[in-house]
Amino acid sequence: MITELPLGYWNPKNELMPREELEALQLKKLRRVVERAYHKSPFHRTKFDEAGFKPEQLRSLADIERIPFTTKEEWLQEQQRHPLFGDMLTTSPDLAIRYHSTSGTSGRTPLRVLDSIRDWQWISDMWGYAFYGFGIRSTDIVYLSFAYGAFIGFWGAHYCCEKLGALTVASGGMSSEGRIKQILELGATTICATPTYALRLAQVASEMGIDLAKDSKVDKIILSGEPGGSVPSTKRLIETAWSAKAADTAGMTEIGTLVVFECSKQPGGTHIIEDHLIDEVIDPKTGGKLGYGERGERVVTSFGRGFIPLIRYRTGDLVEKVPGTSCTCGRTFDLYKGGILGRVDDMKLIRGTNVFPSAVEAIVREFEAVDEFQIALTREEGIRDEITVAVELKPSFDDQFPMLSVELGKALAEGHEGLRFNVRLAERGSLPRFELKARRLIDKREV
Amino acid sequence: MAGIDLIGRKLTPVEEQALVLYNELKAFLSMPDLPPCAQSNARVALAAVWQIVNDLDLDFEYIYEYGV
Repeated sequence: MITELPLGYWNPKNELMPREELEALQLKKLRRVVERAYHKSPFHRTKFDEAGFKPEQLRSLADIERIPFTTKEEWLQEQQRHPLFGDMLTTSPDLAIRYHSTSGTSGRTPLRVLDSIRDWQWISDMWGYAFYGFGIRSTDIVYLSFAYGAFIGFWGAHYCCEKLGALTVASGGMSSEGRIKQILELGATTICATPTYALRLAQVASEMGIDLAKDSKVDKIILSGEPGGSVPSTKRLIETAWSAKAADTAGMTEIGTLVVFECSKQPGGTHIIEDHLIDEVIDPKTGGKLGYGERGERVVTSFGRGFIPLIRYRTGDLVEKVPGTSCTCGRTFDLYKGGILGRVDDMKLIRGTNVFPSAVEAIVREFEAVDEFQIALTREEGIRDEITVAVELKPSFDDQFPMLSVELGKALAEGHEGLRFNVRLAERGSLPRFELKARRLIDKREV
Repeated sequence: MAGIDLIGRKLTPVEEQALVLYNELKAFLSMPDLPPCAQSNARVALAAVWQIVNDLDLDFEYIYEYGV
C-alpha cells in the first residue's frame, strides 16, 4: 500500500512568500548577478555591450528582456576560442573544487563547467527543495542508482542527502542485479533514478524472482533526467512496480543542479525554485515572451552558479508554465504543467502532424503488456514519411500482440490527429535499455 | 542595512544569529597564519553558513575572496 507523504518546506520563508515579495527578491538578485557578470566575465561584457545593454538598465523584472539570450552553441564556441572554459570565469580557476561536463555525444566537444566550495553548497541545497518537499528525512536510506562520473546527474542529490542526515548509498558502477540486492539488503526507503532505469530495475528484479512492491522498503522514488517522470502512464507503472510514490525533478549540467521539483501533493507538474532562479518561457522562433498556459522554450537565469554566470540561457526544454495556485501545497512558486515536456527540437513533423516522443510514450505506457519500445521514423519511396513503434512484450503477454497492435495503433492515431502509426513486434531483449537519458526515437530520415 | 533582509523585512532572532555566525567565520578566515586544518574546515563552514544566509535572503554576495 502506498502511504501519503508529509507536507514539508525546505525554506518556508521563500516557498510561501507572496509573489510581489518573491519578484522583488528576484530583481535584487538579478541585478547583482548581472553586474558581476558584466564586470568579471569578458564574454558577458562583450555580449552585453554588443546588445547595447548595461546592468543599470535593470529597473524592473520586465527589463530582463533587454538582456541577450545565451545559447549552448555560443558557449561551446567560446570554449573553443578560449580553451578550456572560455573567457567567462568570474574568478580564478584555482578556486574550483569540481569539474563536470556534458556527455559530448555525436562526437561534439563536451560543455565544461567548474564550481567552487560555495557553488557546491548551493548545488546540493537546491535538491533540498525537492527532497524535503517530497517527504525525505534524516531517517531515510537513499539509494542513488547512478554511475558517478563527469556527468553531473545525481551528484548534487548525493550531497543533499548527506546534508539532510539521511543514509546515502552510492551505487557507482554496479550491475542492476547487484543494485537490487543492495536495495533489499540495506532496506533502502528512497531511490534516485531516471524513469527508464526505475522501470528497468523492476524488470530485472522480476527476472530475479523479486517483487519490489512487496519485497523492498522503498516508498519514495526521485526521478530525473527524462520527461517520463511527469508522464502519467509511465509514473503509474513505476509507482505500481515499486509500490512507492514517485516525484519528477529536472536539472541540467549548465546550471549544475535541479531547477524544478514535484512536491508531495503530486499536482501533475513541477515547481520552479524561483527564489534561486528566474525561469522564462519564450516562443522558440521569435524569442518573444509567452504567458501562463502557452507552450514554449524554457529560458533560465541562475542566481546560484557563480563561477560561470548563467543568464537567460536557452535550455531547449519544452514547457508550459502555470501559476503556483495550481497546486494545493501552498507554495507560491509557479509550476511547469506536466514537468519538462520534451525538447523543443524533439518535435517531429510526420505527414503534417506534430509528434513528440513523450506524447507517444504516454500512450504506449498505458498498455500493460509493453515492456520496452522504440520509435523509428523512415522515408519511404523518397517522399512518404512513416512512423513505426516497435514493442517488446512482457513474457506472459506474447500471444496478445495481434490484438495489442490494433489497439495501440488506434490509440496512437487518436492521440495524433488520425496519423497512422505502424506497430511491430520486437524480439525480446533486442531493444536498448538505458540507465541515463533514454533515446527511444530514431530518425532514419536524417541519415 | 542592519536589522532587515534583502527586501526590507525585519530579521528574526534566528536570522540575526545566522548573520553573526557568517560574519565571524569571515573574520576568522581573514586571520593570518591559520593552520591548514583550520583554514580548510573554516572554508567549508563558511560555505555552509553562506547558504543559510543566501536561502533566508539575509545577504547575497560572492565569497570567492575567502577561498570558498
